Amino acid sequence: MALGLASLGAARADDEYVLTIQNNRFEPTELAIPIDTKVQITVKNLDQAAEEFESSDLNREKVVVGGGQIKVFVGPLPAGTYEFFGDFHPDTARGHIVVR
Amino acid sequence: MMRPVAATMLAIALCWFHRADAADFKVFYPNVVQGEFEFENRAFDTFDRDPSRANERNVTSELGYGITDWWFGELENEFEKGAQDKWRYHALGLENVFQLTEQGEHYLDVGFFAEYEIAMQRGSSDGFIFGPLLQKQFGRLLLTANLFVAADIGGHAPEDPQFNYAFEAKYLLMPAFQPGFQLFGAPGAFSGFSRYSQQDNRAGPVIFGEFYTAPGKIKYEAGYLVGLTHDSPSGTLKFLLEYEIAF
Repeated sequence: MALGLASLGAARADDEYVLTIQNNRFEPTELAIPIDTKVQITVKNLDQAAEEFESSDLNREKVVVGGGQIKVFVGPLPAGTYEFFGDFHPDTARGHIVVR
Repeated sequence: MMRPVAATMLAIALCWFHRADAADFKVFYPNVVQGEFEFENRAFDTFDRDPSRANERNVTSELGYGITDWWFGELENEFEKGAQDKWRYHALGLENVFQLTEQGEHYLDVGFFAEYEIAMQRGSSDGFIFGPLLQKQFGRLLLTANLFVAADIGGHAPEDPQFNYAFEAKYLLMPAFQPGFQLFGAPGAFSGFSRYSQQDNRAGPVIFGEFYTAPGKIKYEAGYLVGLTHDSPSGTLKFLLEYEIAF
């Protein structure tokens, strides 16, 4: 639990939310954002290969080139859990956004 | 992302100007995925007591690719059968979707659609269909509107430019099953809309969904549209099946 909270804290800096992709995995795998608030999530791909940030729950789908980053605008959303994954490595690159 | 106003204008010019019926009952989204390859097939069939409005059928096959992060191009072959008529190769079309805003950044997501259709029947008009694509998301509710101008180019009897619109509401329940609603309207020419009873307006429930494969995914859409006016077929059954894979 404590580790989880630390992980969530690390993902947020002055309302900037960051997800990184490394070794075909998202970090953190759980990202908490506030309810009814639009936020910008920066997705940084530290791998050399491209990845695709995708979420059917959020209606988002965007390619992140290797070594590159994208911005993804999410919300305002009601409370709930919204899954996302990497379309190029769906077995490992998985996570979810918790809105609360 | 580039905001390709100039490129849009260029594409419109390149697409310059089929019988401009935009009514193949698809709602276009204003978002583009760079590097995504798409193979799509869609079809519809009409039902009505009046044989002049029944068994109108259309099958359209498309190959598309996300050329940039703001431009998606598709090549489509459209086959259709009019009521009491036989199947014909109707048109070869070049569709373009231009994403004009970053998804979710502003109040509305905005894109632009431009299609040039080359008529495959002698004497028929080519068509140029264009207009804005608008989308707004409220939580898991996704609302999309298409507002199209459909202009005949050449041919023996070109019609005045027509107004076509489409609206979709979709609830993002789960990837494999997303219930929704679609409305398609063709009020008539900009020079004077037809009386409401003579307009072709159809609406009804549609279900959507997608299944992830390895690699890529399969998307489906199926719906039944009810005719809202006297001149609309009383029922239209529609299907869409699509395979997507990103490179």
